[in-house]
Amino acid sequence: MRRPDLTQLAVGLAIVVLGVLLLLQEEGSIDIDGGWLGAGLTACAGTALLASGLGAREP
Amino acid sequence: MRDGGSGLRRDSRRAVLGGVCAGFARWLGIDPIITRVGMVVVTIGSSGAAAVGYLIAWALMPSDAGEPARRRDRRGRKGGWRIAGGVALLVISALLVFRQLNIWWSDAVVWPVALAAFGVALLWTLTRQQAEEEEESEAEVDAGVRDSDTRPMPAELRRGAPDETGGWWRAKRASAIGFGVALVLGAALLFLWAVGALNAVSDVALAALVVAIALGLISAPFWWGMGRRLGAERMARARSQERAEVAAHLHDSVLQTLALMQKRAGEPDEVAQLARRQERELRSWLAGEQPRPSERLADALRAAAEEVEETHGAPVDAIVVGDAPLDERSEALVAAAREALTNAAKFASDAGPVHLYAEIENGSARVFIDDRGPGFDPDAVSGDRRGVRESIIGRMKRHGGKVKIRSAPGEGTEVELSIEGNGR
Repeated sequence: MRRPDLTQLAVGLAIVVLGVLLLLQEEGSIDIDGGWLGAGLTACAGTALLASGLGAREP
Repeated sequence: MRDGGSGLRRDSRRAVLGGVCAGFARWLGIDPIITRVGMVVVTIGSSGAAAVGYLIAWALMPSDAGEPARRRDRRGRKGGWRIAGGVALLVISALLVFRQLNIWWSDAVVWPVALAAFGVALLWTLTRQQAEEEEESEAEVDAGVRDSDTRPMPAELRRGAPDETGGWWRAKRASAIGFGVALVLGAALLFLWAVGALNAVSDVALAALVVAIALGLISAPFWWGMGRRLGAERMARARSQERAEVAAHLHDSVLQTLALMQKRAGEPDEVAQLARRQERELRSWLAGEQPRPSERLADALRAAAEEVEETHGAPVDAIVVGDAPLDERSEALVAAAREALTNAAKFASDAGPVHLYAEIENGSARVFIDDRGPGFDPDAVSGDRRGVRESIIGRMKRHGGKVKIRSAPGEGTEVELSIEGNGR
C-alpha cells in the first residue's frame, strides 16, 4: 500500500480541525476570538512545517 | 523514522538539566539549543507553568544511560531549518495559548525575549555548525596528508564550484546570519518601544538611521567590489590547491612508475605489468573512487584480477559494469572467479590476455572469464580435479549460483558465473 505523505496528512488534518472549529463558532456553539484563532493558525503552520521537515528526512 | 528509530529518550550526554530538551532534539534531529530556547521562552511566557510539563516529560521519558554513544549523522540536517521553524511556530502558538488563558507575564517582556532567544539560537547554531565543519575539514586534510594516494579535495571544491554551489551556500549562510541579527535587534527595539523608552530617543535614532543609510549607500560599491575580489581570490586559491593536489598525485604515482619502468626496460613482462597497474590506479583516481575490495563487489573482482596478474605474471583485462555491496554470496562469486582466473592464467596466458567481464545490477551479477588457450573438454574433467569441481562449480551451487563452462580443445575457454538478486 502507498505510504501517506506526512506533510500533506498533517496539513490536511490541521485544516479539517480549523474548519470544524470555525463551523462551530459560526453556529454559536463555541466562541473563538482573535487570540485563539491566532494560536490555532500558528500551531497549524508550525505542525505543517515540522511535518515537512521530518518528511524530507525520510529515506 | 528519526535517529535510527531508537525512540524518544532523555539524552544524558548532552543534558543541561534532565536531558529532556536534548532528547527531543535528538529525536527530531535538530540542534538541542532550539528545543532549549523554546522551553525557556514558553516557561518565561507562562510564568513558570510550563516547567511542570518539563518535569512530567522528565518522569515519563526513559533515560538513554547505558546505550552506546551515537555518532552525529551530518546527513540528518536535511529539512533542519523547516523543523526548527516548525518548533518556533509551535512555541509561539503555546505562548498565545498561555496568553489567552491569562497565565501570562507581560507582553513587553515575553515577546522581545522570545524574538531575542530565537535570534541568539540561530546565530549560535550557525557558529557551531561552521566550527564543526572546519574541524571535519581539517581532520579530512590530516587524513589526506597521511595517505598521499587519497588526498581529498579542498572543502570548497567538494561543495561544488566556488562560483556556483559555494556561492549559493555562502549567500544562504549570510542571509541566515542577517536574519538572526535582525531578530535580536528587533527584540531590543520592541522592548524599548513597549516600555516607552523609544520615544525619548526616537529623534536621535532616526538621525542615526538616516546617517547609517547614507553611509551604507556611499560605501556600497566599495563593499561590493571587495566582496568580488575576495571571491576571486578564494577561487584562485582553490584552483591553486587543486593543481597542487594533482601535481602531488602525479609525482607519487605516474612519475614514480615511469622511473621504475625505465629501470626495468629490459624486462618487457614486468614493464607491461607496471603499466597496467598504474593505468588501473590512475583510472580509479580520475573517477574519484577509493577501491574498497572488502566492501564492494566490483572492487573485489578488480582486486582478484590484479592479484592473479601479479601472482602468475599473466595479463588480465578486467571490465566491471555496475556495483553492489559485498555479501556472503558475492564473496563466493569472487572466490570462484579468482579460481577461474587462476586456471586461465596458468594454462592459457601464452595465448594472450585473460579477460574478465562482469555485469552487476539490482543485486544480480554475471561474470565471464575467457581466454584463448588450448581449451579442454568439461565433461572429461576427472572427479579429483577439485579446482573446477569444488572451487568453482561446488562453491557457486552451495550459494545458489550457476556456472556454465564453454570450452573445447583448441578453442579457448569461457566460464560464466552468475548469482541472482535477493528476490530470485
